Amino acid sequence: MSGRGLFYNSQVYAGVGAEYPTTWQELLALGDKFKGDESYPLDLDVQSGGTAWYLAVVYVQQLTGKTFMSMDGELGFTEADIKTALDFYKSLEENEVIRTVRERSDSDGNSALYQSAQFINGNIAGVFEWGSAVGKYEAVLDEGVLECGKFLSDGNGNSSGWMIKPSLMYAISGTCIYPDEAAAFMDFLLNDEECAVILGTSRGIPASSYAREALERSGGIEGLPKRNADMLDELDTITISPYMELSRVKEFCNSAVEQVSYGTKTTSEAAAELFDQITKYLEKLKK
Amino acid sequence: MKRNYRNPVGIGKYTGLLLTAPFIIGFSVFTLCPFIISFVLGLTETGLGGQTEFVGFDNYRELFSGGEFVNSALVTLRYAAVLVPLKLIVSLLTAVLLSLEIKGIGFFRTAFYIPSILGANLSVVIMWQYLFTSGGLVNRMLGILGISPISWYGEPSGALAVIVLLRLWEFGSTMIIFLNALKDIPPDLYNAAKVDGCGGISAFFRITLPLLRSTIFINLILALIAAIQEFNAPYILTNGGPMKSTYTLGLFIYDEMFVYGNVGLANAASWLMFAALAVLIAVMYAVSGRTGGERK
Repeated sequence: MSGRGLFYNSQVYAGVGAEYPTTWQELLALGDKFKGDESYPLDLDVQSGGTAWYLAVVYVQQLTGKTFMSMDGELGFTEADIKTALDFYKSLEENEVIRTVRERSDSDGNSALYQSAQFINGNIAGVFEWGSAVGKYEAVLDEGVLECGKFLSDGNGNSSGWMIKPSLMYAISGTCIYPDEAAAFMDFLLNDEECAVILGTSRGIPASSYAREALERSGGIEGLPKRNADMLDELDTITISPYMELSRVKEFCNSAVEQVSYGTKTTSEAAAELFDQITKYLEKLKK
Repeated sequence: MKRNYRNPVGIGKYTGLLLTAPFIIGFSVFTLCPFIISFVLGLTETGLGGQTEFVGFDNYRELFSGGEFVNSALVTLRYAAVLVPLKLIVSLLTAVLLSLEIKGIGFFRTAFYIPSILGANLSVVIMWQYLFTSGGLVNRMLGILGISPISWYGEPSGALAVIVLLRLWEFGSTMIIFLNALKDIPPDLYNAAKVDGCGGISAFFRITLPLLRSTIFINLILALIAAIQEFNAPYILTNGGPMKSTYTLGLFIYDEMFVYGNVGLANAASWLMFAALAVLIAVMYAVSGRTGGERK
């Protein structure tokens, strides 16, 4: 299993004299601290990562107790919830917690953040990344500089809304001639001690307790992925709906965030369009 | 067929067919069959589970009902309308300069041709990306000249301009065709014009351009086809952004096919692109009087 977490450049935060945020309010207040330094405490994208929409969804899920999309493809958010998510994103930009989409494109073009001079030089001091994939950000900074932050809460003990998903899933085809043998092989891949050590965290943190314990004994789970996974274990997480991961749905959401960022649509207009697009698309899929 | 004095290599009834068979087989397998299959796929719709359903011309209707396809077609037309004339002008003028017989001209001919060999490969695109980012070389140079930095990747018009500039930089192939055509113009014509008091610029418009009409036309067709099919540069440089301002038809077809798994719509869009290009080129041939055998 894997979940997106917040990771910060400890040197930049120390230089600015800022603490890692623990609540949404603290996150929004961070922009002021970083203004003088011409840097940003966090970065979110509207490309394939779609972290901008992801974080906004977590915020609204925690705020409302709803789930953006159910496992069977029902949209859990109302148009008003989507507007709240887009308003939250806009407030991150307005408070200079993150760069606008225009600023991000101008600085990095189409490059991934971990390849960006802005991140490597410390002008961007935070990333929102899968625990299993944070290594690429660690690799471009000095050892130990990137640290794991807490999952944000509302300040009143509510830290729900954060999401996890299986990094990799296996299935046996209905037409498989040897289903028992396939299942035995799958059991080996998922639960066998030797296999767990070989695979390490390449599939994220193993969901199987056998594999996880074996990996922990061998020292295969350590560093940021482990800290991220441990913190996620303590939360009341939501499993991401596969419908939320559909490329078309991601595209609708990313476009809405982009339109709000560029100011070509108000959050109300973008929310209405996004709600309509997702609803129609989900209906089409179910036909 | 037996060999004899009249037929020393034994050419028979089917020899021609035999000799052209490799091409016919290759063309049938790798071009004609995919072409037909693509049309058939354009009449189907694929569900999430991979199940395919025949939907007639619904995909075509969906494409014309607005949205992304129309937007990407407009982006592609805008891109072609800016790039094609610019490319022809720049490559023709460069070819005229490079046709001058001066010492070391071979070096310049090679230097100008090299970018077109490189294409939009990753290293070129990475270089291009860093030239035009906010802290990149281009904005720094503009700063030295006292010009405010330009938002190349952040503004829709700037992003399209970056892609146009990349393709314009690769004008070598167009230039080489012009260069060869220029060499075919008899020098006597220029000498005679000179005797009659015709200057260099006048000779360019009265001799060079009219004699290059066919070459300009061919280059126009080639550049237009390449521009309408543009994919690589926006895919790597901007991924169609910002705000879909560089989302060309090529990107639309790729996304529908490989990102959204919408096989039918992607193939229908490919056919529309092919049909639009075919009509456009046919009209250009007709307007220029190149149809029906001899050019008028």
